[in-house]
Amino acid sequence: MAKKKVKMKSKSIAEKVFFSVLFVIISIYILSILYSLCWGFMTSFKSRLDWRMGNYLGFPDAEYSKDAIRFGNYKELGDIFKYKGTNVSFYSAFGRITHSGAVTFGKVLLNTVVITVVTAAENALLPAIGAYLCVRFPFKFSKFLYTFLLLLMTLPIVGTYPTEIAVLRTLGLYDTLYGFLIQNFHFTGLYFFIFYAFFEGMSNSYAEAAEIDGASQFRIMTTIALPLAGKLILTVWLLKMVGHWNDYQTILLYLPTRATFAYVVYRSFLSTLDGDQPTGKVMAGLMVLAIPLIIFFIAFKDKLMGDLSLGGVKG
Amino acid sequence: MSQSNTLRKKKMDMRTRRHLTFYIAMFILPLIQFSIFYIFVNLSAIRNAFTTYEIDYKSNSLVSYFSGFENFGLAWDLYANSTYVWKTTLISFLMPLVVSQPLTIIISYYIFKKQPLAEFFKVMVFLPTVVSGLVFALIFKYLTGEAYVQIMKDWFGREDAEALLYGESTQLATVVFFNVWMSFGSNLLLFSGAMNSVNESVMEAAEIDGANKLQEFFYVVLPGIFPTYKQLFILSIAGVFSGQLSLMSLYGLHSDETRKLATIGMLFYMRTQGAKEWLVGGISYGVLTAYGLMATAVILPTTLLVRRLLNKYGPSAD
Repeated sequence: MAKKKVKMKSKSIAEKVFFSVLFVIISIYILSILYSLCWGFMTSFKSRLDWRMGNYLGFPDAEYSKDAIRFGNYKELGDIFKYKGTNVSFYSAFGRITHSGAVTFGKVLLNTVVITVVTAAENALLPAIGAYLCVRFPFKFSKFLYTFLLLLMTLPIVGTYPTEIAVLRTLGLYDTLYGFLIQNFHFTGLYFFIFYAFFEGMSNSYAEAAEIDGASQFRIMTTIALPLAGKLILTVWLLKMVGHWNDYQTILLYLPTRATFAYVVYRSFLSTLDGDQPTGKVMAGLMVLAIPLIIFFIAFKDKLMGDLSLGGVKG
Repeated sequence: MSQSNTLRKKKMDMRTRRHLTFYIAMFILPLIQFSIFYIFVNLSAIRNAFTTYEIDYKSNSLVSYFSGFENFGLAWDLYANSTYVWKTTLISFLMPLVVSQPLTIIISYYIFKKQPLAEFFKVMVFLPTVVSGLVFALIFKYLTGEAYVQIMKDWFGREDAEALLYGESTQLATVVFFNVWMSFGSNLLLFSGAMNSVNESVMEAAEIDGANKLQEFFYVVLPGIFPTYKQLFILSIAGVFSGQLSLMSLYGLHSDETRKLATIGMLFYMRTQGAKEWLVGGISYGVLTAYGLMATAVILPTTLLVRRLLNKYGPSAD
């Protein structure tokens, strides 16, 4: 009995040590993230002179950063939206085509809203609809589609960017917002399987009862099935919005003259040589990109962090 | 009796027909999109790989001609020639498997066991996934640049200190560190979800049998989340030629450091950018697509083989 007590005591000590070490490691990691964001925020109130005087880690100097402390760097950010814009010329099957256009804050806002909100809605709704159709109507095509999409997800096809760009140019969809929406009008990807698992677990009795009562299939889908999946659709929409808000690489590739906020920040602070922009202004630009998302995250963290499982996906 | 059976059959046929009509109506547009942007694009890619494009300045248009395996030769020279590119690509591939995912699993387990501050840790570890990588990259760049140099000079008297992202001996390690630092949140939700799905009765049985938390972790939880880990592992292999090590966020697209440290995925993205303006030589569509086909020919069977092996020899919840 005494031996068993000692063994249990040493087990619980080992567990305590294990979780204590984990606690310390995770705490250090989180402190590093918080420190970085706080440092960036604090630096956004420093002037170029304050930075050049070697004040890299301290608080903004009251004398050198007088204007910056009064949001001077943030006020100057308007400049980064007033550039002539990118000119893009390319050859398609129809000859040489040129896209160009001045960038203004209004255009950037429109591009950001369409890409972030509308495209994200497509990315959330279409997989939900596709998965619902495959579960609700178990035709042979549904089974084939499920297997095919699973293969698609795990079988890599590398290097189709150039061909996709060529096809978009041929169809007249390249560098257009409507073209980008068409490009995203699909239900393939990981979320199809997450929705599939959800609808598989959903009882068919609601739909059958509604059908007996004379409801059309479209009505059943839009008023029963999709609302029941509403929380999951919302979670996916929010996650996709976050991804699109932050994405500048896709814009650079497919929408070179349709700047979004992320693209403008990238272009202003990374595509020019280091030292061209004062550090305080760079940080102010980054905070404009980060703070709305942090607020968004705090407001919707339960939705954003809802459990997404791959369910019964067996590869 | 047979009349009512016939009637029932007729009703069912009508019902099936209504279902089918709705099914086709809802699927038709996404399927057309899929046919163009996936099937047609991939078939065109195969054609492009054997095609060379040139600009006909007289007619101001593109002309193309069949060029056999010329593009494949050029692609081989471009992408297979540099051992450094292979080194950074391998690091980009191994880093999540060896460092990020195991650590994410351990963090997920801490949160799963509802240890002190678990919910707060879950939110904070996920935060870098929400905030743009560009934000953290530029902050990291300044902290490891001027701030780091000042600390080394003032605190340690090192006058020769240089920015970590630009020092010859430190830049690759610093880039890798940044990527690991940013990587924990992305799979946290998937592993947390998987742990929550582990059969509770198995966990209870293990506890009754006297297993401690560490044994529970290795013998119950890890096999339980293996299907999720397997999917992510397969996706990592599938994406081996796509990893970019966040070089674009750290250095920008056209910097010397990006060119020097580029992975194959980064090199490919850079050249696709270049191919918007240039259509001849090494960064023509044909060469880029030929590279894509060669990479697919390597990765596709590898992914299938790994999946087969994991299905056969991997642990199971049973």
